[in-house]
Amino acid sequence: MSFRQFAFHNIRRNTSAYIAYFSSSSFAVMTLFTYLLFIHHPDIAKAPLGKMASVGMEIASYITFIFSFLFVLYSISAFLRVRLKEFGILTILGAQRKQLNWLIFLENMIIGTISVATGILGGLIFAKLFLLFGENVLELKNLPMYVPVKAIWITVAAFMALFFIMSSMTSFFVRQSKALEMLQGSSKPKKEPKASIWLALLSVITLSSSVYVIQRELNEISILYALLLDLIGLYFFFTQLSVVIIRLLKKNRRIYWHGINLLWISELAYKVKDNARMFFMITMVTTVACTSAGIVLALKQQAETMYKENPFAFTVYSEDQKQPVFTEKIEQTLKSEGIEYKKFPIRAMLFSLKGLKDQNLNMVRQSEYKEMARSLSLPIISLQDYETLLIQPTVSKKQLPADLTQLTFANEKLPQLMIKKQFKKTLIESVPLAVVNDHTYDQMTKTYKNKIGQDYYYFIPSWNHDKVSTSNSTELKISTELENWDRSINHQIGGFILSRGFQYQTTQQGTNVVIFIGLFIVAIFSVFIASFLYFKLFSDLQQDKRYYHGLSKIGLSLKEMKRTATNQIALLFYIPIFFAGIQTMVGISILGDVYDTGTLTVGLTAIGIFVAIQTVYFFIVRARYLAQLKNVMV
Amino acid sequence: MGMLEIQKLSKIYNGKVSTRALNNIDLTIEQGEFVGIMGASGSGKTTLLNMVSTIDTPSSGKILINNQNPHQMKKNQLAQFRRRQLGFVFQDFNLLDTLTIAENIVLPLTLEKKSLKEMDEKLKAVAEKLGIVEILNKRTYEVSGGQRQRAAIARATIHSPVLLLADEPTGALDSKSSRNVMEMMEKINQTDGTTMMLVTHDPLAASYCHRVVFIKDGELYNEIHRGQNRQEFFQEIIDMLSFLGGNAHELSAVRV
Repeated sequence: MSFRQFAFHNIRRNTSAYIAYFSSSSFAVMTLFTYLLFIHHPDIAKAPLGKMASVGMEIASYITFIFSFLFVLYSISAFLRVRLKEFGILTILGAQRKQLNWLIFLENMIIGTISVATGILGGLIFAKLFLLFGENVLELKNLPMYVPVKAIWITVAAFMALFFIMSSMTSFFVRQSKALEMLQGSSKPKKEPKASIWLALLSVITLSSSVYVIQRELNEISILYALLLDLIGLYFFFTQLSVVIIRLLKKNRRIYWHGINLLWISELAYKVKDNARMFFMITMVTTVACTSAGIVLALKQQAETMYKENPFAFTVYSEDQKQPVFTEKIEQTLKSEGIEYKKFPIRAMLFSLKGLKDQNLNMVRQSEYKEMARSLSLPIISLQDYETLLIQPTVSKKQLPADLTQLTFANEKLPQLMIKKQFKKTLIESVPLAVVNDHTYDQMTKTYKNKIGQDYYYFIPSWNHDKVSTSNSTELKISTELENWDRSINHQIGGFILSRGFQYQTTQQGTNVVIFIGLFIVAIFSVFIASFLYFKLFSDLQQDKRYYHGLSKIGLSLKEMKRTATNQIALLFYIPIFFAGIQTMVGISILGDVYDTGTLTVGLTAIGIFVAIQTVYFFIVRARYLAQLKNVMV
Repeated sequence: MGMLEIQKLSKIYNGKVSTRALNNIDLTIEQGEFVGIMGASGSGKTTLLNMVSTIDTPSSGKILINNQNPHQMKKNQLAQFRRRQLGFVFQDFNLLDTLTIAENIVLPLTLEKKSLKEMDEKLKAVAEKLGIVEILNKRTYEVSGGQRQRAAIARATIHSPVLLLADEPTGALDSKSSRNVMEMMEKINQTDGTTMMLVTHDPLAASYCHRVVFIKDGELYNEIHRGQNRQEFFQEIIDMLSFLGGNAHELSAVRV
């Protein structure tokens, strides 16, 4: 048996231990390869959205690579710790340190090479599927399969370098130099985890001040401070405060000395302390992922609501009413397609209100409003001087209080307006609209007369906007055509066309790209977490087997063993997600104020999906782990 | 009727070559009796203990503990039977590193969900009896082997089992600690009247028993009873062992 054969046999006979490491590595390879396949696709650069997608994927591929790096680092160090005893035996038999390092190096290189090969093979098998998927999501024309020489080349180089560096760093992982230390290895009883009360206190203080900072004021600097405080707090939470909490829990003997609680709570302190850094990392990344997912999905939802709520297909904004280029183009296009439309000229003036921060309001003439109201069947009331009909948008968060009776303006020279009636409907932009009679309007806008722009709103009855239009609808075709024309002309003219369909479409495509890329990152991240936890569990398996075997002899039943082990595994899986959930909720409820629609539900959905994925892994890992332990129960 | 009744017990391990580990064993241990089982390595004494401990099943024959047949019970029922009726002392102590000595001792009661008051009372009583009060809040790795074994005996007896089973309890201890541990077992046997079965290689440990049963090649070979003098009994055991297997020192080695 040559040395190389020895390394090879070690892997072959340790399949159950290596399988999670191997499959996750090869999944990482596959993901990176898939991204590269997309980025270097010859047709991508030509499509307008493709450019954005490939930039996103480039970033995603870096993230994947960083994750892979950390994952491999953690896995190797955990794996080597379990095998210390084996290295001890080899040392006793006369193996030199150099030879041990060579053995570990060989093993890792074998695994690395195989996972690179299988990853690329898997990537190639699913490549067409991925391209089809990409075509669909990004609404690109046909993306043909090609021979991704460049993608293969980069993937192989990147991962082989990664495995090579990791494998050569083994002496860094195996610090024990004496054979005896190695033989005792991980079976030495661990000391009770210790924690500093002061650092635990620091965790409480930083966490609470993080919430305080962000609630007092919301801007870039406060967010940065809050994030920093949160990071420190969370780190010491897992490394220190958790140990203190568990110790307090142990003091309560009514809970602690009850049934199997004695078993799993006592183990908990060790498990949390052992995995504190990993918990910290998982929590942070999950929080970032879920918060971003929440915001992206909220943007998507917001675009949809805005589209549905907006009754006007086109809006023309022009500073100068003598500039008919835009309206002529729209009308000409609509006529040539034989589509009926109604056009409402509106001269809206924006006012700031007194006492309410950042609260604006559009004022329009009653005569102009009446035209619009008849077509949209909105209420029409007669208005005296300085009376107003207030129309609040439905989608915006910037609502005026419903019990408001009069409007006071920031400019104190302007008179107050009495609110005669108010209702909700999104009409002109997402700000409240005050309808006043023509005399009042002229009075109010006297000083600004030259600054008021002339806008035109186009209502097209045949375009049903209750449903979200698909990309082949007439509305979108015409919208795209008009927007493209709008971009091509000289913008010095002073005005532009806005179409709800095109805006909606753009946001949808943008968010789709982000989701498309994000999905892969989340997928790889959750696979890494799960397989790392699996790895952790199985590296403790020998010890746990002994533990449960002993307990079984003195009468721990199978049912109790299952419950104890399930609690332990569940805690490993769900502690980080639980804290990520709390953080996401805090983060989203703060950031959500910036956006208009329900970000919180979306964020919770994101966490929910993550929890669901982790739960699947949890059951798989639990089943495999219990099956192993069941054998030692007598 | 004895506390432990073993009737025509046989155990055959099936494999490529079937081995008969125990053959037709009959043994009765009376209430309050302290019995030692001795024999060379491979004689079948551990198999016998495993069968009585209910962690292995006999091929034929019957075991009755306190008139109950544990081998007819379901798995979960059996676990409950073990932790209520039996007490175990092992060579390697089998204490949990993650718990303090006190927590290790009350473990059988905690699993039964007994009240805190009851646990505290019993813990105090058993710890005083075994002289381990001052180490109750220590961890297993902070105390000596002898103390660990005494803690294990405390755990095995805190729930007043009907039968205490000890598997080489002195196997990992020095002679002073061994003596100390055996004295504790003897004391519990005398004061509480707990029935005990001890499997050992160590003639010194066996000399604390009332009766020592010798097994050879899976069959009962002989048994000797203790008279008034323990020293005399110790000598008898040594003689018996050398008669049984040749050289005395060969047998007093630690069991593998």
